[in-house]
Amino acid sequence: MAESNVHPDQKYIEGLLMNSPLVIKSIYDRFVPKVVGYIKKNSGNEDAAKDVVQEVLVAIYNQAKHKGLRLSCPFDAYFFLLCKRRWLNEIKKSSLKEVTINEEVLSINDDAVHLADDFEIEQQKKLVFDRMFQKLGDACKDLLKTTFEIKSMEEVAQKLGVTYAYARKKKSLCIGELTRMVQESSEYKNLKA
Amino acid sequence: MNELDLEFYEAYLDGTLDSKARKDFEARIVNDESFKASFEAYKETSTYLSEKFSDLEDLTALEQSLKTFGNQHFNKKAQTSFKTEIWKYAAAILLLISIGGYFLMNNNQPRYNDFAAQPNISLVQRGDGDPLAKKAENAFNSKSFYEATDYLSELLRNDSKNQELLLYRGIAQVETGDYGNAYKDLDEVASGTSVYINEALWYKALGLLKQKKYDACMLVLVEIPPTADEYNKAQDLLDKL
Repeated sequence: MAESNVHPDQKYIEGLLMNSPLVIKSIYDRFVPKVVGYIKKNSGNEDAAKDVVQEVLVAIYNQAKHKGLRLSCPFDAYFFLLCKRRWLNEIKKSSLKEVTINEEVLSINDDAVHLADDFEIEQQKKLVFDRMFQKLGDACKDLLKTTFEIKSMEEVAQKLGVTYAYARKKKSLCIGELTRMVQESSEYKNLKA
Repeated sequence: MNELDLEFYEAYLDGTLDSKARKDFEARIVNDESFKASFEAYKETSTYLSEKFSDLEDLTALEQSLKTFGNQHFNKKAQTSFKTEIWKYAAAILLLISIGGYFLMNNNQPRYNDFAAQPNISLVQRGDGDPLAKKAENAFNSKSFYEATDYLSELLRNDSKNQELLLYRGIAQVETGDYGNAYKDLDEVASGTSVYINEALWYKALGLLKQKKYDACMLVLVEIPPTADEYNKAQDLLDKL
């Protein structure tokens, strides 16, 4: 996305990336009350709202840090939509509650819907990756965990007691194996379709 | 995906290809669709692993901040919704009494000078010798508020959203009796997100006290939350009003 399309509210995303207390406080003061209101109107309570808000903010942070999220809509619209969807998924899971969905609060913003759709696909892909990672052999799991935690391949090789060349080769083979498993899974193919 | 390609992908991503190999790699991405698709898939996996295992200290620090602010926000809400309501009712009652009292005997009201204590400001950071900031700081601290207003306005010309400068200019203008402009600056700070929100409310309340607009002053004072540094003196002034 071109920089010119980036909404000025990108400052909230940058603030989350920097763990800025002012930005986090401002998000809680300005945007969280609407989310709390929505969740309370739809069979939830403040504790549930607190969890949803925290989970969504962490997910936005990850999206920004690893996928270069660029906001093309107001933060309010994006954040609210993500919280709303997260809450709806939550109540779908526990079908105990009689749910009254109040849609009035939501003013539809096309860019926000588009960004939230992308976000949801990314979250679902992540679940597929998580599942497939668990199916990898222990040697690959350990090696990948160590190489991504430590980053310096010299240190990784030393820690694992193998040569630098072997560690590099093994890393690429393990990533290749995980990639193959993910790409061949039907869930992933459905997400890409 | 063949093994050699996998090693190439990894070397490209971690920047260990030399410049010729890098150019060849990028040319192949452009010309070979299946190579490109395979590389994109590899890169996606690599990004996922990075998200799962890299820089987790940063993520933990953010989670901690969110927890802290989340707890503050939700607990404060629970407390203040009760406290604020009480104070608003109290303020409304006091307001009625004070308006009534005003007509019966317009004396014994707290005075501006009993509460006004202008802070000593510090605009010049260590190693930063902006002479204009120094002049503004000196003028303000020596209570030359007309002069301080001029210097602060000059500083704000280049930094119009600086909340600290707006707050100090607001305070200086309350002192010089330029209330309209003072409240414009203080309202801007109070409606923002900086750490100066409650200070701005306090000085606006003092301005209104100086103008003897007691009812308006009280309504500003009740906006100062119990968590603010200014809360105790705001309550003290409310009591006296």
